[in-house]
Parts: sequence; C-alpha cells; structure tokens
Amino acid sequence: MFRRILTLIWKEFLSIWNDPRSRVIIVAPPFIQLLIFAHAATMEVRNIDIAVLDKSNTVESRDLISKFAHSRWFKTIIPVQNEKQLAGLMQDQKVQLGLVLNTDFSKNMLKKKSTDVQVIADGRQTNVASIANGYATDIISQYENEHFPKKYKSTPRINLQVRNWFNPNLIFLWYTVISLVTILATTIGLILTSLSIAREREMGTFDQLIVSPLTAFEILVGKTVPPLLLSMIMASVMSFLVVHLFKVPFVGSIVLFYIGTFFYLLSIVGIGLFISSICKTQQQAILGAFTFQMPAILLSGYISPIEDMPIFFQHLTVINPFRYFLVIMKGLFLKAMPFSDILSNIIPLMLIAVFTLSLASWTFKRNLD
Amino acid sequence: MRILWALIKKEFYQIFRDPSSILIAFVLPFMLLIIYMYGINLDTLKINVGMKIDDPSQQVTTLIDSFKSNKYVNLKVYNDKKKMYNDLVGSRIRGMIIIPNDFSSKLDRGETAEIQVITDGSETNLANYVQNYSKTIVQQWLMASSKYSGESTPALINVSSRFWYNQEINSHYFIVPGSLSITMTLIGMLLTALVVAREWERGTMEALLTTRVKKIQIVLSKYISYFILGMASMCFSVFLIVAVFQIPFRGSFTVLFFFSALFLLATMGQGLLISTVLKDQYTASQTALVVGFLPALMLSGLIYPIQSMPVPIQWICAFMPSKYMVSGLQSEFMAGTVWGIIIPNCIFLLVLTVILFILVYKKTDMRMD
Repeated sequence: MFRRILTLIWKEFLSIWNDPRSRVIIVAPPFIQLLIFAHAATMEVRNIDIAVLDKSNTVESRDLISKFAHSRWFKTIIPVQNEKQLAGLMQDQKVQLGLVLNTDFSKNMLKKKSTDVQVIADGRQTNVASIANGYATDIISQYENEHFPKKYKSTPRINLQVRNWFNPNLIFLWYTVISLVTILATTIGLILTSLSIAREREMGTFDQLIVSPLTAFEILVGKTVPPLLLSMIMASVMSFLVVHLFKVPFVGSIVLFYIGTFFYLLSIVGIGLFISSICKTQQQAILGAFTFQMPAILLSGYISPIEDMPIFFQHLTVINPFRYFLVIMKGLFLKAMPFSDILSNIIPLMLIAVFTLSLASWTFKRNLD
Repeated sequence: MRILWALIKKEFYQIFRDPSSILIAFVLPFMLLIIYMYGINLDTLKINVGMKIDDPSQQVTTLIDSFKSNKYVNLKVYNDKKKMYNDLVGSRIRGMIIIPNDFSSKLDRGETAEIQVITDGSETNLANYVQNYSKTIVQQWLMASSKYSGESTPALINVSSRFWYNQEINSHYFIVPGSLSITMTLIGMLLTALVVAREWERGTMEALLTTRVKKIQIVLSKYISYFILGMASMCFSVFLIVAVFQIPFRGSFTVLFFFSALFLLATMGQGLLISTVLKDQYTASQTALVVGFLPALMLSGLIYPIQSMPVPIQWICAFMPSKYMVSGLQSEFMAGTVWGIIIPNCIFLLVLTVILFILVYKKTDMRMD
C-alpha cells in the first residue's frame, strides 16, 4: 500500500514539476510578488501633494507653509492663485489636500485674534483623506505652539506614555510581509489542489487512476501530499526571506511554526480537494477556489479587525482557516506567542482539516461509484 | 457574419451550460459586494482595548466611563495585569491603558499626570488607532471635566477641515464601487484566460480549424460573448450598489457604461493573450491569477494608496488597467463626471485594448503544430 501511495505521490509531483512552464509559474511569481507587494501594500500615507492658496502672503503665512514643505509626509507644494484653480487640481486628483489661508491670517495672529485656516481633503480616498488631514492639523498646531505659545497657568495636563510592543517603531513592512507570506502560500496550496482532480477529469486521465488498483483513500493521499509539501517549502523559503531580506524578527519557536503551517496548509489542501472533487472542469475548480479565497482573505482580520465586523460575519470567521493562521504567524514572528495561545489557534485548523478532508474523500468516493 | 453569429451562439451555450460562469458573473459579485459593504471598514474601526486602573478615585471613574461610552472602543477592564498582558500577546486585545495610582493626586496638585498606553505593534494599523483613540478620549475628558478643565485659552488658529465629495468620509462610498474593478477583472481575465486554452486542450480547436472559419471570427467571437457576459455582470453590480446598497452616484450612467466597457475589453485582451499563448488551462489560469489578478488587486489603489508607494512600484502601477478603472469609478460615483480623469484614463485603456487585440490576433494560430 505504501509503495502504491509513494508511486502516486511521485507521479503527482512530476506532473507539477516536469512541465517547465508550470514550474516557473509556481515558483517565480510568489517571490516577485513578495518583493513588490511588500512595498506596495502599506496603509501609511506618504508623498502627499498639497495645493496652497495663500491669500495673506506674509512672513507668517510663508512660515506655516514651509513647515509643510519640511514635513516628511508631504512631497510637492503647489501654490495656486484662486479657489477655482484649487478646485480643479483637487478634482483631477493632482493633489490630495488643499490649504487655504485667509487675508487676515497674520494680522489676526499678531493681534492674538483667532483666524480660520481651511484644510480640504479629497474624500474619494477616505483613508488618505483622514490621515492627511490629521498630519495637516498637527503641523498647524505645532506652528502655533512654536510661534505663538500660550501662557499656561498651572492647568493640569496629562501625558500619554505610548509604547508599542513587538514592533516598537510601528514598521508597517513587518505587518505586510508576514501577511503576504500567508496569502501567497495559501494561493499556491489552494490552486494546486483544486486543479488537480478536476484537471485529470477533464483530460480523461482520471479514468486511468480509477481502474488502477489504488483505493479512493490512496488516491486522496497521493493528491494531498505533493501540494502540501510544495506549499510548505514555499512558505519556509518566503519566511526565510522575510527574516533575512526584510529584517523582520522571528522570536517564536520554529517547531511551532512548522506545526502551525502544516495544519493550516492541510486545511487549505482539504478545501482545495473538496472543491476539486465536486468540479467537473478546471474552470469550475479555479473559480470555486476563488469563491473561497477572496472572502476568506477579506474576512480574516487582515484588512479590518474581526471585532469591527457585524456579528454575523464575526461568526462566519470561525470557520475561516486564514484567520487562525494570521494570528499564529504574527504571534510567532513578532510576539513569541506561548504554546497555549498557538494551540488554541491550531485546534480549529485541525478540525477544519479533518472536516474538509473527510468531506472531500466522501464526495470523491461517491463520485467513483 | 453568419459564421460569427454562429460562433457567438456556441460560446453562449458553453457559458450557460457551465454553472461556474454564472457563479462568477453574478453570485460572486453579490457576495463580494456584501462583504465590502458590511464586512470591511477602512476607518473608524471598532477595537478591543484593555484597561487596568490602579487609582480608585472618583475622577478616574468618569474617565473610564468616557472610554466605555466611546462607540469605537470595546473596553475590557482588568484587575490582573498579568492576564491583560496575556490577552495582548494572544491577540484578544489590541492595546492596554494603564492608569497609575498617583493619577488623580497629580492632577489635583496641578502637575502633569501620566497614563500608560501600550499597543500591539504586530497589528501596526490598529496600534495607530489605539494611540489616536486614547489620545482623543483623554483630551476630551480633560476638557469636559469641571474640575480640571481650567482656563485654557482657545487655539488661535481654527482649523476647519472639509472633505470634498464625501463629507462624512464613509469608506464604503469608495471601496464598494471600487470593488467593481475586482469582479470585472475576474470575469475579463480569469474566464477568458481559460477559454482559448480549453479549445486547444479538448481538441475542439482542431475541429474549428477544419471549417471555413476565419481567424478574425474566432477572436471576435471570444471577445464579443465574454464582453456581453461581463457587461451584464457589471450592470447587475451597479444596480445592487446604487439601488440596494444606496451608495450615492453622482456621475452619468452612460459615461460609466462606456468607461467600464473599455476596461473590460482591456482586461479581456490580457486574459485572451495569456490563453492564446499558453494553450493549456492549467498554466493559463495560474498565470492569470498571479500575473494578472493579484497585482490588479494590490496595485490598483483600491486599498493601498498609490502615491505612498516607492516610485518604481508607482511605475508598475501605471501599467495596471485596474488603476485607471478604480480612479475613474471613484470619481464617477463620488464627484460626478470629471473629464480631467475620465479622458486620460480612457485613452490609456483604449490604447491598451488595441495593442492587446492586435497581439491576440497575431498570436492566434490557425495551424496544428
């Protein structure tokens, strides 16, 4: 029996590996994507272009504007002559922010009278708009504190001592690359398995498998192992790159990393095989894989946290393996998460794996009869 | 013409006989729209925060109340610091706020009191939210408290922030329409990537080649039939977005229609080119996924702002049709028709469509080699 399974595993492996095009398409893109997306997928807002309408045009107003020019968040400052020009630049998305200083700006400031400053943000990109608006407000109040400091009579004040654990400087890249490894490893495992049975069925080679002495269970094992191995190797190599190329710390246990990755990818392979076993064509298989993967990534806590979702979606995430693996990966890379916490995330993965694999073998057997 | 008509009819039979095309054109967009509408949020996130109070005074209870009543903070009060640390490591809370025992006595004496805020840096984005929320809540509490507010003078500069096109900066207004680009890429690229390869794989291409069918008719029949499917799906999604989800639409439906049509043709060109060149569904679908779809998702500006990316990556983005689609969609929905955006984007998409069409035509083999 073992010999038979091994032969099948070897055959599966060769069918993935022997075709040079398929080899390239499996190995190369994940690494290229890791490198490109690592720098692209950031929620930070930088290089803001701002249009400035300075009606006051005095030493004070130019001082304030130069504060924007020196800030590391802003790139270009475009002076405009009138509101219409500003509106045009905003509308065509040439700038993300607009700043309007009134004619009475420095007159009022020098007289210690209050003055209005308008900050206009392009609400079409809400995330950029609210962050850029925050930067602008900070710069303006900094300017005021430096040039027109208030006299405090012992008014009580509160000082917030902020510490960021696990990532003291809040480097966004760390978060991004760890999440990317999980997404890319998922994609490889899912696509390879979901296509495997469907492809044989469409090509007609599936009938040859059925008439062979292999049992349904053996065929399933043979279909599980190669993609599982391949995606585990890819996950390890990518994690190695994350640590050595992107200099992200890995403070957890390597053993737990492999245990977690194994069960996660097993659950993904189970889902892939289940999809494959109910599909007749490769088109159905790949679209089925997609119908699973897109919502799984969106509802995992990767884009917005689970506690922020409506209750219905929160319950739905319980069956989402991606959710648990994200916690495990971030926990092991950055937090040295203890065994008990890792385990409480691995157990759901085991359950999902057992469930999907048995479901796959059940539909698979039923289709054989 | 009659031959072309017959070929299109044949494509449509194939589309309707495979339930997965209908799944991808109508069911998946519906699912994704619901997730984007209700499951995902890019601003004003609700997050779990832990709090430990070492100062039992009356003043502090009002501070706790203002944290509790804040709708963006799920406050969990701990008595045991160790347990709170464990919950942070286990990713059950995103941050901790610790109020030391001398907090109110320092405030009473008019000194600067301290509050410790510790965030989970492994959730980089959420760490920023923890910081900002606690800063705002503490400031507001201090201003509102009758005992400590003092006679602080108001700021000289009144910053009035305005968000054009989206006053309440609701992120759903931009992400829900933007998600149209994802579903259209799926149909345009993934479905068409399979379509020519399938004919070669199943040998039906050989059957076609023995007839009097001309090359242009084969290419056009693929373009036209999937174009109709894609546009039907687009109209369905727009109907859902505007009529069911009540997302404001300020532009013109005609412009939206033509603009999306161009985008669809461009992505179909990509998909058909992959399919025509590779002639094998297995590699074609994976190529479409990793070279086409994932970059279209990550580099389109839908979730990650393009102007924050490093310049080389911005150059890569400039070649993504989805980038032009996303900015066009967002303007059309939120700002009305902005010709300064629509025209250049249309020109890009048109040029890309033509180039890809010529390539697809050139690469279509009429011989069995």
